[in-house]
Amino acid sequence: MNKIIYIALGFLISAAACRDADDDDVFSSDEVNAVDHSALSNTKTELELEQFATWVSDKENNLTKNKTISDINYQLAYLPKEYMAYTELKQEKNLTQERFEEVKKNYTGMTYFKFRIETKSGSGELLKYKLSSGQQYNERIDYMSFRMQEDIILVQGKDTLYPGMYHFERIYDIAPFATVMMAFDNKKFNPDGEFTIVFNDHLFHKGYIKYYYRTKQLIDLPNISGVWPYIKEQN
Amino acid sequence: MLQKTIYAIGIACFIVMSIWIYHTCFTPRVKYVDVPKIFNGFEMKKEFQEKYKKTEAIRKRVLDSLSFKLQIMAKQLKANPKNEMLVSEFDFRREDFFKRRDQIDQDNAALSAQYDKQILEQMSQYIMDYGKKNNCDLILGADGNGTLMYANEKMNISEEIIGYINDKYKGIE
Repeated sequence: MNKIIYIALGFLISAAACRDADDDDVFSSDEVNAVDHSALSNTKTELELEQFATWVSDKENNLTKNKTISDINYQLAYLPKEYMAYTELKQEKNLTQERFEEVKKNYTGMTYFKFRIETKSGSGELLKYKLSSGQQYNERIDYMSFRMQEDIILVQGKDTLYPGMYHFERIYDIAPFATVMMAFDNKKFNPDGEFTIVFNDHLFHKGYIKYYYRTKQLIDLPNISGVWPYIKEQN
Repeated sequence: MLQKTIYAIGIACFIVMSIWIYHTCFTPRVKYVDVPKIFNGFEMKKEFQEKYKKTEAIRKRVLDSLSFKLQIMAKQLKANPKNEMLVSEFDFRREDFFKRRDQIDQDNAALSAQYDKQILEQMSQYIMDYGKKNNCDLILGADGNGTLMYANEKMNISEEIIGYINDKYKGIE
């Protein structure tokens, strides 16, 4: 009889655990990513350039921020100057530290962001999404090319700042998203302090889309230990 | 005697645990929100309310200015009631004032509706995000309209219902 009671209790306890286990599954993929990533998430970690680029792009590190409002996804990614130099130079085979530093210098003085808008369904050209007329398509292109930069501001304390550089990368229907590169002048705000980037959406009319960056978030980055894997091999 | 007591305690534990497990495993996690309260407490609503007030005030100033000019003209007209040019200009301006006032009323209503739609869209999205993040099964909106703010996908029986209603319609069920 004792055995039966113990078995029944054991069964009940394991059954009770099932629900929590189910709940855990909801975040299991995120947790796996977080665990995988933990080795890289220490800001004092030394990373090779390619790993650094992966670290920057990884959403777990919060430099890339996502916001989905019903059917539209908005993504803002902070791009450190090292990352900018990396994307410019990654095709070069005989890359040296000096060359990397030289290109990196070109990106100092500004804080770069990539802003991407895409449909949740992820198909077709973004600017053709839910079009009411052909005219509207032209208006959207015009908006993204020129007027949208007036709807993006960086807010720090009571100061607001428009992008000092803005570029709409038109890719037609190659991909179901539209990308904008923009940069803010470091002399006009403090990149080490907290700030919010606000997009007043006049494209799909979703209102203000805000992204908050905490104090020192842009400088809490891993150190780069080597510029390119094969430089080490050459050495 | 001791053995009997142990059995009784064991059985009692079993019953309590069964009830607890039933609650944990089979009762949906249902929460509710006071929709007007969260709508009014939403920062975006406060910001857009300010934005709306500013736009409304600017438009009102335009109307006030037109109204003031009309009042001056009305006084002039009172002094010179036979001045036909003044009469026709007054009529024209009065007509224009009414048209503009109607237009501004419509624009204000449209702007208010647009802002409300944007606020509700973002608010609903963030409530859904909360539901997913906190493993809720249902979040109900306590606004008297039976609004469902969030539902876990596993509780979605739409496909099952489609089959059922079609079977009913075809006379199979």
